[in-house]
Amino acid sequence: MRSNLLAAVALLVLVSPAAASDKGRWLHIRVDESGPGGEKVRVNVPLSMVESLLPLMDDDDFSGGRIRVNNHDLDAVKLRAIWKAVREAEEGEYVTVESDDENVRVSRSGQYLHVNVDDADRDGEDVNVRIPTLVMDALLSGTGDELDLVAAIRALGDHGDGELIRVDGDDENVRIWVDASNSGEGSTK
Amino acid sequence: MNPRTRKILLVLGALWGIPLVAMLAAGLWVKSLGMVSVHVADRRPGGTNVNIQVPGVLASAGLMFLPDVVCAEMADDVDSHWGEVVKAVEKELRNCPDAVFVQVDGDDENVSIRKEGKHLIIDVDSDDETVHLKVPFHLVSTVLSKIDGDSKGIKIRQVDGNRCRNVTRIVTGA
Repeated sequence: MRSNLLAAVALLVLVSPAAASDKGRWLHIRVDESGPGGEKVRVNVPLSMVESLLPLMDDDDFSGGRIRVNNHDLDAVKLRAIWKAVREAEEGEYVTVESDDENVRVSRSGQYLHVNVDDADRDGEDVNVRIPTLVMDALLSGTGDELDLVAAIRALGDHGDGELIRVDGDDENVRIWVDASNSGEGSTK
Repeated sequence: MNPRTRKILLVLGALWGIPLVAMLAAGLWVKSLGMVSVHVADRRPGGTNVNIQVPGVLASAGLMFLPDVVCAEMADDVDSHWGEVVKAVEKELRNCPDAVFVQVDGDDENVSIRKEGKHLIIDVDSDDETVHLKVPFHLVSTVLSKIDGDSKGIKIRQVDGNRCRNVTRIVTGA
């Protein structure tokens, strides 16, 4: 009886941190401005907080955690159709724009949609965006002209750790990523 | 030790012990509710320094004596929507571990917003001034509950120039 109780307690102790870390993902933002007097910004927010606050935000085009995009250049219905086509297509590079100023590439590989913008200028910024396909599915799961941000955040938490955006520039570096650490320190992903 | 002396000692012990335990318990309770701490140091010539340290329990108790009119004005000033946001933030803060939420290190200003235990701490350190604010979460919900509670019921408003004020409140108990 006693050994059973000890085994149950041991199991609980082993399982609890795993369950907690699974739910407790944090969104991290780092901005490092270079040069003298450059600012360093660190933001660490629990995804659960973002998820509970988004539905409370209320604006003309944003309410209930959903953003209406049709008032702008972007059309959610078209975006949904494009994403459906991308999902159904084979993995690979879908868009390549090469110009004197910058090269843009949009591709899908594995579980991610990649958007890379390489500035041709030596001092320019290189932007790398890596969005899990599950997050895109969730974001576009809204109806009509709405994008479901809350669903996207929830999917981001379920997806796991990883880098979402990296901007490497001459003036500043920006990094946005998700992991289970509340400080974001020590993450090299 | 004879039985009579033992009884006297027991009575004396109880007389000292009970208030001592009660004081200890009260002290622990006050400590558990945290402290409100405000520190503002103005570095400019002639600048004012402000230092306030109040136990959270005292601040909560002080709210009970706040007149309804003041609460009504506060309810008018604080949009009920933002009240919901603050309550949601407070709930999330309770559940998340200690962390630095925002840290800005600049040439002329450093800002830090973090959670430590039951407190939300905001530090601003600039060339002109230093601000340190430490507030226990429970106080935020207490203030909002007080405002919420007092803003329920029927409001009879008086138009005062261009401004509309709550002057009387009939609480319906609904």
